Amino acid sequence: MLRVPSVADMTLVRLLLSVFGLSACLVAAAFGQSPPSDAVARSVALFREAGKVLQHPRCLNCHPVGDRPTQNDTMRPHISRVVRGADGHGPPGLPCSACHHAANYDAAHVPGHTDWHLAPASMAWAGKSLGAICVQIKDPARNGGRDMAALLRHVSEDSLVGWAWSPGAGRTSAPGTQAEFGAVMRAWAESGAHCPPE
Amino acid sequence: MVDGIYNQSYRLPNFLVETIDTPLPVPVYFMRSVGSTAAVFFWESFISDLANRAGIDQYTYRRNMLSHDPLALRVLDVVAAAAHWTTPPAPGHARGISYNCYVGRGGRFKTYVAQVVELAPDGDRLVLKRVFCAVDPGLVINPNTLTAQIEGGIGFALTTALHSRITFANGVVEQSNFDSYPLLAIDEMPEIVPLILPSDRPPQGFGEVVLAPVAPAIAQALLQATGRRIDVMPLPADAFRR
Amino acid sequence: MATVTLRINGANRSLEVDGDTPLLWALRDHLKLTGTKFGCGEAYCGACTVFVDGNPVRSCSLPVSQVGNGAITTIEGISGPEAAAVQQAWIARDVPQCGYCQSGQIMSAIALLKAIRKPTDRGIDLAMGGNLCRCATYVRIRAAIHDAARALGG
Ligand code: FES
Ligand code: FES
Repeated sequence: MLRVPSVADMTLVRLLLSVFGLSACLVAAAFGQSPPSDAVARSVALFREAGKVLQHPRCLNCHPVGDRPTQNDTMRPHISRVVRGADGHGPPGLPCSACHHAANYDAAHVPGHTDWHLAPASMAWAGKSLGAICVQIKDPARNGGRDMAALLRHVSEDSLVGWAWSPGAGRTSAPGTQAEFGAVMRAWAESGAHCPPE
Repeated sequence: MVDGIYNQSYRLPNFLVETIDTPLPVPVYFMRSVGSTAAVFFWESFISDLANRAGIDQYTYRRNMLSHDPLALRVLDVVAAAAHWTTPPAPGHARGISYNCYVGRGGRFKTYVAQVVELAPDGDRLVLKRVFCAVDPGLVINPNTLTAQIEGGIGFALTTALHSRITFANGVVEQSNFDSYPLLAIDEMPEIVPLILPSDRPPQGFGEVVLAPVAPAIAQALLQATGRRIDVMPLPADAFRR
Repeated sequence: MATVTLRINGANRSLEVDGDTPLLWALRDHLKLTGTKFGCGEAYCGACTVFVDGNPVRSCSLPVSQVGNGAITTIEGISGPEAAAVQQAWIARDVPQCGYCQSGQIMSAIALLKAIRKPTDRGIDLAMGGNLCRCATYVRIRAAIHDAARALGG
């Protein structure tokens, strides 16, 4: 099995990516492991790397299973007791925007973005295995109707996704940067977009 | 500390209450219902245990021990009748019954309270559906205010029973706001069925009296539904798992 | 410190505040509009709810710098059929106990009835889930919202 560097050290990710660009054998040399047996293992390893972001509380909190978002690094149920509502922007009378405004507001510990909302129920990730998330994220029926190109654009350019890397005081940031996350996802797509076992 | 226990009203031929003062490292003071919220939870849960040991229905067991007190029997009978206690609950549902005679102001007033709580299944959890609450507070001058106190008092008690946990670390309280110290929210509020009994007694006290029986009635229902006996407040959230 | 002009209850009000000041403090401390309450300061309780351009907003979690040209309505300035129906229903049902949370409850109830003409119990629970009431007046809040919906012909 290919050894995957810790996402805590994104320089390793960069190294991994650039090395992949050259040759898989060099990867083995770089990490002192037996060479990857095939492109599938490499692809899976890339997705596991992306999973460090996908399964980070900054992402899972608003990709909840069920109707209620979670909060904090502990991912406890959201207070106030808001639910997703028909379009992910909260139920009638209690929109997300009642509390979440255009930008993070550290004085009140309330994060913000102009389009603060929940991912649709079809894109629920919380509590799922990385393999299940992988299959789901490729499935246009469960990823908001995106083909791979649109998916890559979404993860690397969407500013609400990007909030995970500037979440305001008191919240841990998703690992790395959005650009690095986008690059890992792109490398995964180009390697055949293989998934870990579910 | 033993409010509602040392002056409890069940007929018990051998009854002794002893207390030991324990110096607490944190200052404590009154909250709504004073000592009875904590004490009556243990006391009524103990009575529930005795009924279970004796293999006698909870309502009947309490009735047997209150036969000397017609006013106590009246609130119990009224609440049991309203809740159709003698008809078993629907499958998956559970009920608990509790009683307290709130003796307030150093014995200057006596208000009788009996409650039945109903738990209903909701997904993988049991939720509070309805609370019947029979009260005899003497002559009622403003039934609207009294009803509001029944509704709000039960809701207040539910915050205590379900949520109010204070913990300490490094000498300070860990809770700081409603995220860590939640209050009951509207979707957790059960239907309340107030049963106000007519009385010739002068008006008695009321603001705090409906709180104490809430937690022990829930605990009794949970024991019946899940087999788990709960002896701490707040009642652990996982105790409501079916 | 900067001079900020806010449109509140139909009038322009200028005040000297730091842009990072929560709208709630601007309302209460600077403009003495104390009907809007402070409960938690972190968007957990709903006591500070006002409208900005008709939408419910927790004024504790909105810095004045982000209000812009938004038209603010506080509990002192509510009007219109939903507001009237809610006020009437609240009085008829005698909803408040201590009253502290009630400005926020009323603002959220109006917002709900503007969004849904005839809310169900569940719809009420969802919309009002961000408004805490220590006195647990929830039974009457629910009943009063149904009354107000009926009065509005919902
Ligand atoms: S004070 Fe703003 S929500 Fe509590
Ligand atoms: S009426 Fe007292 S907090 Fe709601």
